[in-house]
Amino acid sequence: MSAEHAIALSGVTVRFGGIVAVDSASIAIAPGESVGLIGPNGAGKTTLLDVAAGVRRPQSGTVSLFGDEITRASVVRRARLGVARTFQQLSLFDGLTVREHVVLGHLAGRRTKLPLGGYLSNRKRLEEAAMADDSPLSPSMLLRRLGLEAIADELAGEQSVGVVRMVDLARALASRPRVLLLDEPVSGLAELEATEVGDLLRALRAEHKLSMLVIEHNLEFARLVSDRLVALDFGKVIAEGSPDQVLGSDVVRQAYFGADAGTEVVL
Amino acid sequence: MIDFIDVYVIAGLVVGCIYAIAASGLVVAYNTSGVLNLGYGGIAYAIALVFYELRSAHHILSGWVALVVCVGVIGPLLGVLLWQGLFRWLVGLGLVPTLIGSIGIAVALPALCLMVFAPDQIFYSAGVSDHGTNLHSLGQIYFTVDQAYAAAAAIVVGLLLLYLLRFTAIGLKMRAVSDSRTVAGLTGMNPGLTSNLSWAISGALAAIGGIFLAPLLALTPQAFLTLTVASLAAALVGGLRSIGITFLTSLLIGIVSSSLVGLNSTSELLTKGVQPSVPFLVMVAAVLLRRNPIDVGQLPRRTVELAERFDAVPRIAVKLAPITVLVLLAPVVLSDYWLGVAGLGLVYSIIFLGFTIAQGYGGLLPLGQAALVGIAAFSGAGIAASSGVPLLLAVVLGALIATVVAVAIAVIGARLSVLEFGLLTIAFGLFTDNFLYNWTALVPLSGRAVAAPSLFGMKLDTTTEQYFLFAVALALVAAGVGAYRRRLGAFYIGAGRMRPELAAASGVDPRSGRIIAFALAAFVGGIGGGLLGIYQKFLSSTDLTTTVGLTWLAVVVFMGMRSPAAAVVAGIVYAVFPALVSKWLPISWGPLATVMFGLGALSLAQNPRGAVAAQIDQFRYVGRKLRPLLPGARAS
Repeated sequence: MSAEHAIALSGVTVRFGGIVAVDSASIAIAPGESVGLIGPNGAGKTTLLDVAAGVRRPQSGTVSLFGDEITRASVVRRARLGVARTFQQLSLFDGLTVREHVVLGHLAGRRTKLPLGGYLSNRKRLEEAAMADDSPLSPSMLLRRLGLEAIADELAGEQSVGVVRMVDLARALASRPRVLLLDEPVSGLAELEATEVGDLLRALRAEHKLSMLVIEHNLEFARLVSDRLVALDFGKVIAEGSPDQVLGSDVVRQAYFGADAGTEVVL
Repeated sequence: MIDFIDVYVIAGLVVGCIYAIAASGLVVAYNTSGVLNLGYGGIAYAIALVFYELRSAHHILSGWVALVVCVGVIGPLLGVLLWQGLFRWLVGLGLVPTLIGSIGIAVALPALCLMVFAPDQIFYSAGVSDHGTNLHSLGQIYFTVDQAYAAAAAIVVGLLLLYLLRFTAIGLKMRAVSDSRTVAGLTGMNPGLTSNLSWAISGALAAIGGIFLAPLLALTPQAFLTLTVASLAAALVGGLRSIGITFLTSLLIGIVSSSLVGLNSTSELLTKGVQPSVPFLVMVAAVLLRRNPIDVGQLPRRTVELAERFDAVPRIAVKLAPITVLVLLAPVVLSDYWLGVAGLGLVYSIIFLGFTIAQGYGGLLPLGQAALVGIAAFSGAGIAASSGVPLLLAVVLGALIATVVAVAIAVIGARLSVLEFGLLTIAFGLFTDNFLYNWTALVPLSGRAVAAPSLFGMKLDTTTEQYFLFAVALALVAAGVGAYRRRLGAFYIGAGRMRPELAAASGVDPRSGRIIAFALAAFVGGIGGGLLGIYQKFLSSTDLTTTVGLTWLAVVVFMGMRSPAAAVVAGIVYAVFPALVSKWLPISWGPLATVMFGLGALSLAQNPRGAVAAQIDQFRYVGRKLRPLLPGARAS
């Protein structure tokens, strides 16, 4: 995989004891490209995303970011290099407000050069400077754009599922990432909300040349936000191509519906 | 060789048998309810003391009948009572509140027993047999009756547990509840009943362990803390799951501890240092060498994560204003005695602010914090005594030494979970108690005298002068804590405490945050330790033990972990309450303060924010109710 790829996973294998969760899988995403990762439960999608984010080390294979190998880099290092992610399980800092989530993403991700990592810097001053910034991925702009402005000072842990997903997304985007890893970003959302998130992601991608890897069970959403789809089953890449190609593929239908997948089934 | 086996291996094997019984009780309770009970030794001690009262002190029951009553009734009842009355509520709040609740038990229960029974010094607590010290032989190997019964008890308990857990329906249910209470409930089992049963078994095992250990070691809370640590170490080696590995490790700990003394019984290093440290070294190895983190059970039903309020620093200053006024008024209104007590309260406030930083802000479990306070206090006093460095500067240097030690511990434990890090710190604390405090360069045999400090050529040796010294020190430390809260680092550390995985994904390294929080806590606590030496004018190794530190933690938890103001209130209460008890109540009520502090930690289930915050809420409630009654309220 070369520098022309934003992020590339090559020949990645992950085993849990005797179970092979990901089996020599390779995925490469070009700068500004959005790739949807689909597959039935247990296919190894989240494990692969964990490998990309640095949560899990593969037994074999490599991960590179804009041509630099980062296979052994920690989660923190990758975040500072511009890899941001959201979580499938709703996971926020329960004691922080919505605004503080976004400010944290802004200050900690792709960290600006602060002495001693910013640990001794005055937080209030930095937060005020961040909120005064009106660049496209600044905290104030993200709060406005994601509809979080009115609840910015409320505790994030007390919000509904849809809002929590938005806060998680805003936190990730605030780090001004080069690669965005989204794990089921619309899980638990109503269809209308999911479409709105899809439109927003497409717009942000176009504006900021974001590279995205999106895991999603909602295939319509995956089709909406992806240039390409990669289908996994039992840890192996079984299909890759345009959304129509992959969703129309027999092997993908078979992975989802088993051997009896009828010709009537439309994904 | 036979002598060696007789004296050391057999003795170690028997003590190992007791550890095995206790460790099994820990594992059973942990697996069926998710509670890692650090109060286990306290429970065993309490029941052993009841046994002693029934059997030896008042001769109410014979040894065997007392055993049946304690193992069949008191132990199981106490186990179920603790589960129903405390742990089933705490376990839903998560791991840290549960552990702190169990520390409350470890602190309160032995103190309560000492207060209720007020036993004289017990030189030998008889076991079940009237002839426990009689020697018998098996071939060339000699053993006492007490030793034989302890070994027999371990074998019976081991076999019964194996049978119960592997071959009975109830054992299957207990394992099912351990894996998932929800699924077990949906399958028609009664998880509540199963947990009650497992706590009854755990209580009975604590009773057996306590009753058979007492004749072999000593019937003291300190000896039973060793029981907790040794059994915990064995349980950790067994992954808190395998009874078999836990049993074997317990036996090995017993044998190795005892045999080390046998290698050279005149060596102080072996007898006073290495031998008592074996369980702690095993615990450190078990924690550090694990490939996967210790399973901390099912997720809590609800979280106790509280709003961080990073913007509240000016309000903290406002809250501290009345305290400042009180501090300034104290020398005018208090007698010399009570001014001294108030000064001690200020010193404890500084020590307790260390807990606020480590636990409240950093999310760490500082179970061995007293060791860091002690290292700072002794090394600071030592530097002043030996090199002529001014005492107040030496106090700061001592705190810096403790900070370096804390950084080393935090770096070693950087990859550990909160639970594992807490266990590492308690192992270090107990290692300090048994090893470092026996190192005469740090702690002279007769203790360390601390002279009065001087400041700008003025000797501060009166109560009032030292009171103001402590007040100024507290103000400086509080200002430092306020400054810390305004830094971006505090924000990062708070995020790392709340959700380490999310913080890391956002670019914040939770491990760096932990190291910084632990180091800061050690420095602040160390300053407090140095000032404690100045207040007491003398430091001995028993002043700053791990047991003392656990009591401190219980007090701070009771008052509120997240608030500096609560730490100050905790410090004042910790100094004033025992003074009140000793002044107004009979001597036998001496442990009342410790009982209250331990019980206070148990209130965590009711007030996760602590008693100070709960009290402020009460005042606000009353204020809201009274407001309409004030003149002019209707018009406004």
